[in-house]
Amino acid sequence: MFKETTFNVYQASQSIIHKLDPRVKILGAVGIILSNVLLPDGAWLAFGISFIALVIMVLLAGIAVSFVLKRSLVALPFVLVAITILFTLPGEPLVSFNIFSWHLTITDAGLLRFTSILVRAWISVQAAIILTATTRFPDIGHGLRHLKIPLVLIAILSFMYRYLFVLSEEATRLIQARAARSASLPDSPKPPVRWQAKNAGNMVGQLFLRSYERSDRVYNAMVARGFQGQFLTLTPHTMVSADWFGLAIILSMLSLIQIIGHFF
Amino acid sequence: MPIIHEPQPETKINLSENGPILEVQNLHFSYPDGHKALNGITLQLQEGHKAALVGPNGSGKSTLMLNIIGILHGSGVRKINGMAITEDNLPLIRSQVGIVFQNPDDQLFSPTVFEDVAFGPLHMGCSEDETRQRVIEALAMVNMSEYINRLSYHLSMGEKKRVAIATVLSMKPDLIILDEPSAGLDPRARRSLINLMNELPQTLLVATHDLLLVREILPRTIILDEGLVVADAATEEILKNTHLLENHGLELPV
Repeated sequence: MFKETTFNVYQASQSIIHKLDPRVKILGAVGIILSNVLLPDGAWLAFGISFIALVIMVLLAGIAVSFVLKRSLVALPFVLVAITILFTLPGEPLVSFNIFSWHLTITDAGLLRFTSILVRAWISVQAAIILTATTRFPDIGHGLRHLKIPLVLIAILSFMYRYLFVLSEEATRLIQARAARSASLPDSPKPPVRWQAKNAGNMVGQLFLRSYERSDRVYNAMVARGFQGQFLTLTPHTMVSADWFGLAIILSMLSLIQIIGHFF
Repeated sequence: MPIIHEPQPETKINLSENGPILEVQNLHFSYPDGHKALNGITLQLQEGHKAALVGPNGSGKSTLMLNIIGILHGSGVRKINGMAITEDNLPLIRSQVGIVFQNPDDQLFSPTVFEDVAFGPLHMGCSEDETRQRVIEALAMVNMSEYINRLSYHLSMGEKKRVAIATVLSMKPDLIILDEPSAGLDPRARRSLINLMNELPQTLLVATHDLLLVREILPRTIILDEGLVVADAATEEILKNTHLLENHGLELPV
């Protein structure tokens, strides 16, 4: 049910994007997300250039474009939160309809804002996907460390990444154990939803308890090896000239996108 | 941009010219819920001893180990290399006693094998170069050198166990405590782990239910039951005493 690829999108390769220092890639991904946010609504040309820039990155990295597009669909449910903007922003009415007792009107300003948010979110998620597909997770951690992100935050991220696998295995085992005992006779009624919900709730509780106990054991293992509240790690990355060059290209690209977005 | 660690003076003082590496006297421990786990444990380990700690589940093996490493604090005497365990010398104690927990997923908490094996030396204050050196040595000792950059999650159970041992070897402890090292291993992985443990020069204290492993590589056996040492003798003698074994829920496979 959980596959390894559910969490691990890294695609091993030796492309120039893979070889870039993780710092550059992190700055690039965060940079394009920031640039997206700063672009005005309806800056379609700038959005288009951002998208093309990302597609070029994908091609350079040798990842399948379809992989990135498919993955980027995860952004959609979050964008739906913004759907009310369609109806609430004052402007020229485009379409009106009735749902239940509500009378809803989509305005042109609302539509523009909503599609802009949609495109922004979609492009930003693609930037993050390219980052994780071309950078091993430990390297992202090192990059963040070099970028002076607080160590506790990085440690939380690394633990989450490490134990996501363990936790999902545990969840899979619980689900399999339940499935193995969920027998039913041909003419027996389906169990009521209430019962199923209770079961699922119990499982979540089980998972929480197990994780809680595991956290205790992990902490013991850390303390036993001399942990005293300070995270120390070795970070083996050094920026070479190619990395500075890559960073320069990304930054000038982003500036260009901003100029186009604001003045054209 | 390497991160520089202040070199720390070599603090490892070996006080144990002749004294025992581990000394526990009349150790009592109760959990906060009132359950009494240890009821006066007394035992000693001399340098180079390889001892098994056996006993039924709930006999206090894990509690004893956590007391020896100074994670739990019972009442009684606990000395490592002649030093009583106090809050102040815990870091020193932990550089001298390494513990390999039963579940390698608890022991290996870093994203990569390298970072996990480097964790101990780094937190002991080793310099970056020395840490790297120690990691390479420790992984070579457990025959896992080529796994240095792998992600811990992707290893098999046997590989995880070996790396877990390396995480402790890199700290160069005098005493290594292993909790259920052979549990959950297939015969081949178990065999290679036994060979590895047999080659370790350190003093060993191994908590296990695997009496065949005990007979093979651990000359001394300590039986724990209900928080007490009920037998402490040569493995050969103890394994011959079927009455004793049965009384404490143990069984030697034929």
